[in-house]
Amino acid sequence: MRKSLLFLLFALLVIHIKAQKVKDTEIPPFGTVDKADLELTQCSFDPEAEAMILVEDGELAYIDGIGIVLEKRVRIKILKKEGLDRADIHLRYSTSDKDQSIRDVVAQTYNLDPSGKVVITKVDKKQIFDKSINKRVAEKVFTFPEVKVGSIIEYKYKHNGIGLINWYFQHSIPVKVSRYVLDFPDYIQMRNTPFCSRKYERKEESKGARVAQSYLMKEIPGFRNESNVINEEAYMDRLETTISAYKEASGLWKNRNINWLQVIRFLMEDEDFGIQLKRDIPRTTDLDLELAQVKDDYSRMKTIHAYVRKNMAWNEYYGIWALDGVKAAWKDKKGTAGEINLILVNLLRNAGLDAKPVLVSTHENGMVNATDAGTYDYPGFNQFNKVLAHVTIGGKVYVLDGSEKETPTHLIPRDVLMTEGLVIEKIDTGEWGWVTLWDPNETYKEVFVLNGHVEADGKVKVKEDITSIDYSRLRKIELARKGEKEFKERFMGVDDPNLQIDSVTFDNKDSDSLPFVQHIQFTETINGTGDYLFLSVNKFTGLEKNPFIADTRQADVFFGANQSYLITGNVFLPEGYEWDAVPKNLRMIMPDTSISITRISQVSNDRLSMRITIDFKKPFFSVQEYGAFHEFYKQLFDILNEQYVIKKKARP
Amino acid sequence: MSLKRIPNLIFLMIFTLLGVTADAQTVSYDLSSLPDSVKKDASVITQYDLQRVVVEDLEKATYSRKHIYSVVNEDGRRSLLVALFSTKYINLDEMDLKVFDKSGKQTARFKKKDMMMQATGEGLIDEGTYYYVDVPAPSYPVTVEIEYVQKFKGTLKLPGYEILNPGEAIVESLFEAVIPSGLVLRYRAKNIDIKPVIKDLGKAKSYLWTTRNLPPFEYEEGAVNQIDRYPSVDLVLNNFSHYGYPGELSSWQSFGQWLSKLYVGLDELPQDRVNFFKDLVKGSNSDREKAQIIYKYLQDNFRYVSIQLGIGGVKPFSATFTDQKKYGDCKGLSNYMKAALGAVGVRSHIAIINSEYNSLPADPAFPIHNFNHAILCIPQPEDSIWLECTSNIAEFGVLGTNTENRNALLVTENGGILVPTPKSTAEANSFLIHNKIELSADASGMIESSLRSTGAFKDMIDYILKEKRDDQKESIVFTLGFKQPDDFLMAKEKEKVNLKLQFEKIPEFTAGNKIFLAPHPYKLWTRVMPKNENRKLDFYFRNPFVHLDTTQIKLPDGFLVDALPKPREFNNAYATYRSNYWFDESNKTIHSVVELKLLQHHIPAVDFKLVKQFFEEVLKEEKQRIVVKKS
Repeated sequence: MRKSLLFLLFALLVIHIKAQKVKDTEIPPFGTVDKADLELTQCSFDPEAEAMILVEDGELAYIDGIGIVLEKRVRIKILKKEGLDRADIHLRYSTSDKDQSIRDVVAQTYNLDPSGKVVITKVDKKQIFDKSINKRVAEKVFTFPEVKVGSIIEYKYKHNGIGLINWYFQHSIPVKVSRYVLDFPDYIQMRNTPFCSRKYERKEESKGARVAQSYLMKEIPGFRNESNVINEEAYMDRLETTISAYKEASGLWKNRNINWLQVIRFLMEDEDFGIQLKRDIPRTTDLDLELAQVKDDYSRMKTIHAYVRKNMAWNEYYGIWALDGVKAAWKDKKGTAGEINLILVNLLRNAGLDAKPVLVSTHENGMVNATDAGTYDYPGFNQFNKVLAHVTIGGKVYVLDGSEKETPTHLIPRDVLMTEGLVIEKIDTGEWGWVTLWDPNETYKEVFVLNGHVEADGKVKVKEDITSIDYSRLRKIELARKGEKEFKERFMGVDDPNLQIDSVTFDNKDSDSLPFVQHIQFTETINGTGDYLFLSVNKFTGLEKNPFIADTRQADVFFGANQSYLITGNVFLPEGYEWDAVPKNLRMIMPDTSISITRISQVSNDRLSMRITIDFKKPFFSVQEYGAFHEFYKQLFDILNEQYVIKKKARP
Repeated sequence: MSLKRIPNLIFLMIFTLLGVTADAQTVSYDLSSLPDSVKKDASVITQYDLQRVVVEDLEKATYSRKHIYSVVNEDGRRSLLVALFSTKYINLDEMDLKVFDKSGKQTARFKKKDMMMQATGEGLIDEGTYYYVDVPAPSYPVTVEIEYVQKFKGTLKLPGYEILNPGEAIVESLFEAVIPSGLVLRYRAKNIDIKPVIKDLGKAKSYLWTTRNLPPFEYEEGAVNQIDRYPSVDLVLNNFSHYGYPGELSSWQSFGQWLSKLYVGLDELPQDRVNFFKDLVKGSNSDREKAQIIYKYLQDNFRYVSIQLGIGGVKPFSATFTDQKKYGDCKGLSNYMKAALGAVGVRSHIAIINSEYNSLPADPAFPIHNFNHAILCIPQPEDSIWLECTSNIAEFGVLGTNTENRNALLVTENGGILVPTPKSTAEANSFLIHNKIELSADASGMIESSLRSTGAFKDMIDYILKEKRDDQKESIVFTLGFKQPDDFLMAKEKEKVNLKLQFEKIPEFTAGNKIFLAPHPYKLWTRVMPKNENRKLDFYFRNPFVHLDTTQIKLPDGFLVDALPKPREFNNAYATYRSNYWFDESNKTIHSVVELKLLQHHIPAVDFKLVKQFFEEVLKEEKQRIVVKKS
């Protein structure tokens, strides 16, 4: 749901002049291709690319009687067979917004004939199809004829009613030149914010009563898919745009920019937000009874949190608003994230707790820009996709989500960790403002305790107790509740026929916050060669494969939480066997001490004692740190995969 | 009465013809009154199912279903995602879904308009729409009562009786087909012994299949294709109509006849293109040579695009259209290849086939349209040439297991002919690798591997070769199973691929004065066979294969071999393994040789245990280490 403080800006204005075209020598016109581009076999600034965008050119203009129109053109060079799929084009548009349409699609392929002449093959209009994707979205679909490795394809179209959009200069394939032009009447002032890690050029041109601003970037390498990224789009070069002011008929400029104070004030006075905080939630006598049983504030908070979760189902819609009102949602026992959490804040406040709504943006939704409160037309609250309850008890802050079922009350929900939240409260209280949703002590913690007895036949019987605490508990508990079978497949998937799981039992599976304990008993036929047997203690830890093999990295590594692992225990040998030299004791630490691993092993007679600890003191590792991080990870997994060697004693 | 109601009226009238009428069902919402034999191990229990296919005429049929089932626990969750397909040809007309809790209280209800919809298919055209709803289940058991109607505008593919899925038990299930008296219905029960009760209703005949009190069965990984995996009954009309084209499916010959009519005139090319191809193959004499040249031209200049246009996915675009666009789907590209071959005087036939490595061959005795793909066959006195025309990388004349080992329907001027496609061989999927390891005293070193591959392995290696460097590195580690190299180079050299890898530490691990080396520097076999030894269904590998590894490890001065794995040799009717290890003192080199062969990809259920044990042995051998000591 998109809300504006003032909806009808453009309706108030009278615009007569049609959008103008901006010329730029960097951008060859539609239909004119360079022979050199057709002869190109490799992208010079991203040599491995299967295809590259030679030109991406968009012009967003406000046109009288039509609204905001995007005219877009894309020219792609196919460099390898793997790039042929780029010739299948899907142009999406909204069908729920009746003013949107895609028109005037023109597309053609360029090839060189044997004599070196450029040959153009057009896409037949009849071969451009409309395809309905779901109730809200449709697409124009087509594919190019005569496409082979070496071909250039080009298409252009008009997207009417698209609204203000962000422009992405970067894509999964490299871009040679990308330009975005914003062509608006001179009584509209744009505020454009480039989020670009590379150089860009900005130009402004006035012609008559219009101003065209153009942003241009060149030679942007493709963006590779990487794991452990907080939000990919945050790392891609792009331009964000808003309307910051317009000139009234009187000739005076009316500033459209707002500050966060205005946003907060608006929210507090809004029927679908602030007003909902003052609603008495009816029929909560059962909650009152439960609350009468508990004394301290933390327990009261926990009781209310549990009560809302039990009584409210989330309809899978995000958003910060209670559009149908909290009372209606309460009656239906179902609501949006906004409705549920505004109910939660309501109930917490009624119980006398210091609770406020906090606006958040989940990792998936994108990073919040706290320096930009937006404009009247697109206020800063649009950056957020959820509202949560922010509770302060004895100086400690708790962040609660009533729309999600598993996160214990004392933990910050996973999907907003390390993000900026905006606490909303009446301005005069001074209790509003930004908070970083982070507590270094709330970690992903896991302890593995092994106790093994090797038997005379070379089998080892092991009891392993895994204690999963806080975020690691959270990761495992949902699947554990679904059933033992799925849990075993996911976390105890055994790719070793020598290893047989004898039993698995759980403790605290149904507790809402106690550490989740898994007791595993297994028997392993130890692998051996000659008189040697090899025993690994890295079992069911989830640390078997190094996920950071790649040498390069474009986005920061993000783990979510600080992490801590402990693998410890004892293994005993029977008569006739002895421990060979054990892997050496060591401690390895990142230069900035952010990650450390310690391994200590000790043998006394038949007993091996070992202890491996791994600690992560921060959740983020920047691209600049990746070199050291990558090397550390390589060593880390080498250490984890080292085995203990058992030797058969020579017979006397 | 509004116009909208009329179709339902017709629907009601049809039902007066039926042989059976739905009786009142008693539903046990808390499952207490259901027999234990049914409940045991079931995650889903069908309490009552009535499915009906009513054929009015060749162009009109109606499928309706009333299905009452309970989901017992989370394992049955998948049955709560209800998805119904709708196309221009099979239209989802109505749907009513009610949800009941344990006490029998209705907790939710959905109509067609409440369902989410999603277009399916990657292609350019709407291939259809899924209407779906994810039924909420706050607690178990939850009972779903769903009724829906689908209207068919043709009779080429009648809905069959799909009886049950793994984990599902049946209390009572009925399937009735009502067929006008003039039409011949054939049927075939699969994975169940079941026969219909046939009743003459005058103008129509009713065929009624009934099942009661069926216990659930277990899911078996790696089994035959879904279509043939579970208890079901196939239905076929000897006469049908498809998008207004009437045809006969009483024999493979007649079905091929119908198909060949759809292709008439579509394989002609303009004269300049005919001349082009004649020129292209100038100087070659045999059909094989000509076909090879044209196939290469096709692979370099055409691409596969999914465009299921025309009539229900069986009629292709004309060769001229494909020629202009340089793209097409399997039918379009095969038809184009046929036209191009025709231009140079080589005769070929479109071959319709069911493509998937684990599909059963079409049954000569039971003609039915279960095909999903088209390839091309060039008949030869011996060893006909088969071409997969949708691939830009396939080798000439090599099909691969998706279309090997089964029957294809050749579409000829004289009708259809069911012929077998080539059998897969281990040799056609080979991975021959030689590794030279130079170990330094500090345990660092270089590995130089050279490998030759064919078939499925070649596809994999070619894919890795084309990857970007970091993706390539991940493939070397995660797909091929090498340790993480510090630096590497992968390059093709003629028929060979060379891989050079630099390591800070070559050994798996080091302890004291010993180092422990893997017998080969990557994982030769990692797959763990599904656990159920006593399978009921045959097991399918993707393809048979040969894997031959020779590894040489040169030790630095001052190092000695402490222990070598024992040479092994074991085999059965389906697979063989042999390994050998020795140390050549004269040049301080350890030699390791391993050969693993899977002779056929299809393993009968009774022999699965044998094959499973075999590969467990292989995995154990993979864990062997060479122990080297500093002297």
